[in-house]
Amino acid sequence: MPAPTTFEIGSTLGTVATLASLDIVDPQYNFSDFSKRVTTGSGLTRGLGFPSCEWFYGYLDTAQYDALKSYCVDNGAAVVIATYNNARQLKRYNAKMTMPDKFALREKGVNTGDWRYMSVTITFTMLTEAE
Amino acid sequence: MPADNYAARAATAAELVKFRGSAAIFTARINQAVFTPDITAITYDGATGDYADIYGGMRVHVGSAAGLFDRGVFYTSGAATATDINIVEQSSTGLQDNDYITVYRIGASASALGLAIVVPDTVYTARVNGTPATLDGLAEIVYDGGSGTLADVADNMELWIGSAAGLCDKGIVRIRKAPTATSFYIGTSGLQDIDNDDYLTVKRAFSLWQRDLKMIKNKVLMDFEIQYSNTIGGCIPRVAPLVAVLHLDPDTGTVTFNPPDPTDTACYDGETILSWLYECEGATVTDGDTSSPTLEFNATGQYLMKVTITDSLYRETITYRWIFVDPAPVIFTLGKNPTGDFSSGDWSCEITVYEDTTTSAIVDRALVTLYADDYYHAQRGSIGKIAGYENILMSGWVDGETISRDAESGSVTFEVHGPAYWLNKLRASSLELQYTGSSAPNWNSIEGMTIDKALAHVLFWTTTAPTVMDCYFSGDTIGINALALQSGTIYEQLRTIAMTRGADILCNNYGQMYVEIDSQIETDANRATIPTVMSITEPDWVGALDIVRNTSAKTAMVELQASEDFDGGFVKPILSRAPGNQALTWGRLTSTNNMFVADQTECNRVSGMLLASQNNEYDPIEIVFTANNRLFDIAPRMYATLTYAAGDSPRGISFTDRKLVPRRVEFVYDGSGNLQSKVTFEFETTGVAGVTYVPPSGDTDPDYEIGDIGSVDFPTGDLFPPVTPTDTLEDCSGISNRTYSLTWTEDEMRGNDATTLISRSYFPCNVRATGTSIEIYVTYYGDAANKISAYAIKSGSRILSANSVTWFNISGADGTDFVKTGRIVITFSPLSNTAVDGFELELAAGIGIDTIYVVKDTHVTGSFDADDTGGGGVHSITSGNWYAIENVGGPWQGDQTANPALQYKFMFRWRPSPLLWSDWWGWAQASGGDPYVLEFGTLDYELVGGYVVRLFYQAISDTVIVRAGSDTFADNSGSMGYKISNVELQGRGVDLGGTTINNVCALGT
Repeated sequence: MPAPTTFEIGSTLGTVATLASLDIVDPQYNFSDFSKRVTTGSGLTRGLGFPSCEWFYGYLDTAQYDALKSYCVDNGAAVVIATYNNARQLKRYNAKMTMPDKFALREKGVNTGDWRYMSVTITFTMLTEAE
Repeated sequence: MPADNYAARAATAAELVKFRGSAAIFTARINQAVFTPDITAITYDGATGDYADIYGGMRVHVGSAAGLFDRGVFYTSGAATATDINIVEQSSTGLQDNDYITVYRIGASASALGLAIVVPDTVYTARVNGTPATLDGLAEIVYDGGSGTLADVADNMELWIGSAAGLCDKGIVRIRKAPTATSFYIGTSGLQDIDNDDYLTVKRAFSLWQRDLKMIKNKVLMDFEIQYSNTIGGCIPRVAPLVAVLHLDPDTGTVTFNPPDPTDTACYDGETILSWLYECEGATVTDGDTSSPTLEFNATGQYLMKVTITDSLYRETITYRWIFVDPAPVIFTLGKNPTGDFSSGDWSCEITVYEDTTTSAIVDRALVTLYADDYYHAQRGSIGKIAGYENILMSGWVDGETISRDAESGSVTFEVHGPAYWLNKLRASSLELQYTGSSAPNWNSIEGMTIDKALAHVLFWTTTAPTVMDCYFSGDTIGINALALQSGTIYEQLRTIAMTRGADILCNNYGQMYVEIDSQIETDANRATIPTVMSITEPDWVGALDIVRNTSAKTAMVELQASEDFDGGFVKPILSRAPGNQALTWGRLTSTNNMFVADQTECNRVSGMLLASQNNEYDPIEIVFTANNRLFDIAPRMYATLTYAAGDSPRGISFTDRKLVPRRVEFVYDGSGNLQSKVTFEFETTGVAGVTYVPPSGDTDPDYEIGDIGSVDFPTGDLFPPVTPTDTLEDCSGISNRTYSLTWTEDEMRGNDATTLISRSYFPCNVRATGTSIEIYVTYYGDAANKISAYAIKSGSRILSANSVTWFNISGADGTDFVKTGRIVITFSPLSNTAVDGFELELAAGIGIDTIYVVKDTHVTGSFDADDTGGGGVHSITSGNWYAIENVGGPWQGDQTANPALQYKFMFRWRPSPLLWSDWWGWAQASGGDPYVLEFGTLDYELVGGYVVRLFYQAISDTVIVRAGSDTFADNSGSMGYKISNVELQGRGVDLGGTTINNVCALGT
């Protein structure tokens, strides 16, 4: 499978699609190498646990939101994503996806029925390399 | 050396690197003069480390000098070669030839947990055929309407009893032996409710059960009905932990599994292991008849690995282990982390399972395994104690549950406990075990008893532990003369045995039992064989270490009472005190009893070690490891070492490579993928040997001054001893309302032993004209009821006969049960008050019509060729004595058939054959002459189990020959082994218990 060139998401490795193909813009992101940090007896700090990352959108149109939500119908789901890590590498990861359960919904105009999901942060935890 | 199934080992250097986080794993120099952007590989030479350890995602530092990264930081793109490190494409470089390369691992250790739950499938179904007359002691369930293959029903499977098909609402019991076409034979279980047409479901499930003892007179039967023989039994398997969890390779769709080396398996009656047979339905088994098989799976699911172990007596011990391949996902959370604790000897955890399709499938006592999908430095893989089981956090059985249900969801919370917990829930009848220097004659004797032999005896015969789990013993060889195992639980009995040598019952997280002498009292030589898992260094632990130092002793003195290594002679008690006869200033005085030691020297050594352990300078220390390190456990014995420099301590305390003993291990999981080990260690101690202690014995020749005691009328003749003091009897002028106790000269009266037919009690008194009675609680055997006569005696002669001797039955039934209990009430009605010396009972002579055979020691063993009309050797016996003959070992096995025409024949069948009459190879047959050839045509027999038949024979000559009986000897083959044992025929008998006499009065009044 060719290396990823942009952000991707899929239910399995074989079904990953670029966000662009889903009409979703690339997110702002952050990446944590560990889920926990401890200080050892030698005084050094050490990271423990799986990496995690977040995708942040200032807003998502309903179609974009629904497209992402389709990968996480319940509160959590196992997915495969391609995202940047702290080594500036774009990599595919198995992850546990969590959609936000609170956000602001705003209409683009008065009574247009065209809604936007504001400040959406999608969390991906327990990242392991998918390839 | 233990096989690789032994769950203690040192961490490898590579594992320590993984535990300790990021580290340089490879260094080299650039061996390349020209760099053309974009570069994807760096050619190197002068390497240290193994390039095979390099994989994608590692950090590469390149510097102009060692340890620098002034040329740049890169990341590997994949595996390296012997000449090139592949890196993520770089568009520009400042690299130069001979620059210094250092490759670092990055990423943390992380784990995702999973749950594998055994959901047993159905082997056979049927319906109860008739409501049992009584449920008390029910050991057989008659059935009809069977469906399935009856031959698939194996010993120790579970039988579910339910009000509807597939349910177990009326109970779960154990199949204790192969069923017939009409009956299931079950372990007695105290079932409360079984009705006609209830549903029976045999499940392919094996767990820990008790196998009940049954007492008939003084004869113990195992598992309800198994008679003693020193040729039946088996081995203690050590083949694998309870459960393995495997994953299919996504590329091949298969996974192969190599079970651990099983060669630590051992018999404890002198036999050896001949062969192994691994079977696993649904898997492809290669080399299954060796000790190193390979199992290949190509589908997800749960599998049952069956291991049949054949020993040198051709006995088969069968044991089962579960293997999961990609278990179905279960939604769960951990309420209590998996924790192993020395004080409980076991592992436990608490799990909440959320409602989904699997929840209802979790039955009571379901076998549950918590496993991990581990990553070290982002590389998938687990580190554990036994190959193939590294990913297991703990295995155990479900106990108790809290069912939560709200409007929207449901969940079940339950605890999971390992084998020790469950063994402590299994009832155990009292059992006395004795050392014998020769072949054991019954279930209460063990030849050359040691703790290992006693443990094997109890575990094999009174539990199903060998069927489901590994049990490791101490290897100790100190002889033990006797063990009185009180009724209670199996765990308590095992602990009683273990504690005689300072051992304990401990189970590891894999569900394997280890009974080993505690390392704190071990000899230096044996301590040297205990593995050291790792040296703990500062990067290994989180935060600070709190070391609590004790500045005063907790124990002032240890007094150890022990017995010396028993070899069949005399029990020699020995004592030791540590530190000596003078106690320390601080602490309490303690004593330890009932241990066995090699000799006085060891007694002194052990007392010193006990004192040192109890006065450990440091309290147990808790270390939270940064790593997901599952190499530590409470068993088997293992060490860590710790070095503490004086400069690290404000008090200047220091020690180097001080050994630590793990006593509590917890796998701490935070739900986000972080799994750490928290281990409480005890500091190893070493004591100075105590001193021999000889308790004061007092004046053995005291000068007692006896004054004038006047004339004393001592009883004479066979009334003395024993004597029942007459106390102070009441005057005959009044009405007595007092009762007095009597004791008897013979408390075990036997109809076939002329020396015990008469039993007397000396009790001088007046028997009143009316109202004098004697009440005796008795255990009686055979046809003894109403076979006793009673008299009052004076000067050795019977002067009164009892007016009545009335028997009241309490338990057991004549004609049905050989052993009964009851009460005898004897009344006297002399013409007037009559002075007597005491009373006399007489049991009618004769063994009676209700008898049983009790097999004693082995008289002789032998063998003969099956086609030899001359049979085996000529053996001397005693005419008139009783003997038992049974087949022993070899491929020939004894069996008995229900065919009426041929019943009671002592036949042999060739072992691999099915049990068919056409498979006969011969039977012992009779003819007269000298020596006498055994004739078995009408002899009593009993099935001993394992195709061993035992026939009982009263000798009518002084010699005997055993041979095959056959119409045509020439078509027989092979040889046939046999054993002749001495037998006691027991029948009529009475054991006299508590006795009271009522309404008598004082002489001379």
